[in-house]
Amino acid sequence: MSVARAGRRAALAGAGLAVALVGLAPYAVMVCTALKPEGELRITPPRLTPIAWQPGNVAVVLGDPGFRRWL
Amino acid sequence: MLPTGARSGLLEQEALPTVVANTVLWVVAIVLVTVVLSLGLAQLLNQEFPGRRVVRWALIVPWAASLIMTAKLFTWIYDYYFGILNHALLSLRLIAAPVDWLGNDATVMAAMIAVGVFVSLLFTIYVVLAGVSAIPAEVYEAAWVDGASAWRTYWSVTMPPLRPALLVAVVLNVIYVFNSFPIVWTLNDRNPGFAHDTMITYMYKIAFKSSLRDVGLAAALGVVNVLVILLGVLFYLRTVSWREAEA
Repeated sequence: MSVARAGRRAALAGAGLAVALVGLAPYAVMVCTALKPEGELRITPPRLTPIAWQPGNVAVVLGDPGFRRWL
Repeated sequence: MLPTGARSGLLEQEALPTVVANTVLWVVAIVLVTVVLSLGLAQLLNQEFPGRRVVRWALIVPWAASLIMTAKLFTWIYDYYFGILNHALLSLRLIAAPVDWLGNDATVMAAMIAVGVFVSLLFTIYVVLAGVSAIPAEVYEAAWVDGASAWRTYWSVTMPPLRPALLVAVVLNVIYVFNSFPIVWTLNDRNPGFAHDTMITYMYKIAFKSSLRDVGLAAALGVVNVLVILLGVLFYLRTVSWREAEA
């Protein structure tokens, strides 16, 4: 494979990765927010990732009888 | 046929011209930006590169996600105090002070249109991609042998077979965007009045939220909405078929 062809493939892969990141970025915010404790939701400056990860939030939602009924 | 009372009542609404202008801007801006971006992104996704399948799968997420969830998510991202967008733009020094994206009259429509483009893009990319991938490689090779430039190849080789796919993408997007309720409703819910409403959210507000609470008037607007979208699509289809007949 020529250098030019390899460079083109790398550029295309980089562009593709950038597009995928833009498409997924809002949902990354959602996932990170879901893993934050209540007190971390309203801090300034805001942070993307939680300071204290709280995966138990997901278990709380899944254990909620109301959520199960809606499901 | 609309009842006479409802028809005159509808035309007497002070907010109607603003709402109609908002709707035109909402539909034209989203469809135009979506189609232009889709043409470029479909070309990208039609190329062979490492990780192409992953990129294609990643782009399904915004389309598969619930619209109301995505709209609420963007309300959080746009938040003046705690939104990540202001923080990111401030960090990159692209803005000097936080922007109230959803509370400022100058930015709220653009903020909603950006979300509209975000959720419409994937479907349009895939429609255009289906058209692009159906073009045989031999046609491009022939254009290359003839010495055609990249731009000339795009306009003369890629675009003509893409017209049917673009037609489908535009018609479906116009209908989908015109009828879109969750984005405008969710992102605009803190603003009073009708300054940033489209026909669909205006119809809902007339029926259930405003001081009018007039279901008859909202029903009349619903009839008008259906007629407008039908006439718009028919006009577009006829215009396109005239052009194709001339070509």
